Amino acid sequence: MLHALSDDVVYAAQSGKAEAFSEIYAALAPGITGYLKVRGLEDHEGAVQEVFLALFSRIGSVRGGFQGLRTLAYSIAHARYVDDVRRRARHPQLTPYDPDADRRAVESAETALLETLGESDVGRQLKELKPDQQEVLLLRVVADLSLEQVAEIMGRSTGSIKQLQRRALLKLKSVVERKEALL
Amino acid sequence: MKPHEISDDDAVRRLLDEAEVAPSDRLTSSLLAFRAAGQDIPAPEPSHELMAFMTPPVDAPAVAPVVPLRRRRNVRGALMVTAALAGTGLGVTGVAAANPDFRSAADQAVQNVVGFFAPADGQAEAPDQTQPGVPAGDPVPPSLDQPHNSGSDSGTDTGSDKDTPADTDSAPASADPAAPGKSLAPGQQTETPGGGNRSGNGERNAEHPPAMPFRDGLPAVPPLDGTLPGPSDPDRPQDKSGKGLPLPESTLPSDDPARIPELPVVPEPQR
Repeated sequence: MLHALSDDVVYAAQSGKAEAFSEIYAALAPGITGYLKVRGLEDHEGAVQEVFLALFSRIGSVRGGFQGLRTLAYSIAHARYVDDVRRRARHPQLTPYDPDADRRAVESAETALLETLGESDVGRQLKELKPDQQEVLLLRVVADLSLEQVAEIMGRSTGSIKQLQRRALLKLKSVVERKEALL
Repeated sequence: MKPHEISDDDAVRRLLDEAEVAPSDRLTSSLLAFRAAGQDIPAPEPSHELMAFMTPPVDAPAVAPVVPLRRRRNVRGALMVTAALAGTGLGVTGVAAANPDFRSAADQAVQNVVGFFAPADGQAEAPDQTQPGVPAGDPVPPSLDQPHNSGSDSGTDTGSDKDTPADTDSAPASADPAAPGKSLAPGQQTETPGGGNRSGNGERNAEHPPAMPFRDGLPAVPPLDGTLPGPSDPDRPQDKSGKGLPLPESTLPSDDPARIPELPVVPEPQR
């Protein structure tokens, strides 16, 4: 359940009250953390700190009350995620050899069945979707943002976001029902 | 439930209705799992930078504010210099007031200082008064330095040339007529191109202003043939037209570049 705050908290934070900052952090930090963790950031906790530092520094420019504050917070989080993707693209991650992670080996039937049973994990289901569809579902479900807010964050029109959302839900539904049929 | 809080089931149902996707139990449970994955994660502890926002500022400092010390060194030094200068001035003034000879001694000191630099000016003017060939002991005729303002010989002034150096009058030249080639009398000039300027030596002196320092003091250059017609030389042509006299052939450059000029022998000094 999302914790929504009144607009007065935002105004109090804009006037410099420390208690208002604490309430905003307590209300938005879990959602921001989950969003960044599901997106696969390595140091998602450090990214959360950066997001709130940027948010509190620009608290004076927030318009629209608490919903405007949430939109700005997830916009910053989305920008951090994009920066992380670009950074990883520029610097390939070097990891030591792990025999268990070697996909060239053929898995046993028991292992494949166990993994199929464990496909209820959110990350595994999201991997079946396209990146844009993943982003729309996360912002709509996890962050509980409206279509307009998601369109503003992703820099697209509301209609395209609505189409992406519909395709994402249909794809997710097919994935879930296919897994259920396999079971 | 607070009025502004939204339940998870309502949010998922609204989402499916908005996307016009037929709800199913499996899809709904999956979306609820999505929502829980983003909400059940505990928030990390805020860093020190974030805690600075969340901590109320301390209103009054427990320690009195530190006031930097003012630098009085410069002021003290300026006061000491001023006191020293004032003491010196008062001492000198007191001595001057008590000793009446102090003023004369000060004047003497000033004159000594001025006299130390004064010879430099005197030496700069000395060559103007001393002519070559004239013994150092010979006094310069006073008429050389005096402007010729007398109107005795001004009647023959042609007024054709005002840039001609002031020539001496006939008195010094006639006083020593026996040495025409030995030396020139002070202010006596040789014939130069544009010799017409030489006519009426004594006459034009009346027009030259006396303030020209080099008019009378320029050293004379002996002629090449060793002879110099004096101002009273009857053979000297007179420039009556005022346009200048033609140069003698001896002073004109020869047409033959290989010709060796006939230089006069230096006359023996008269004993």
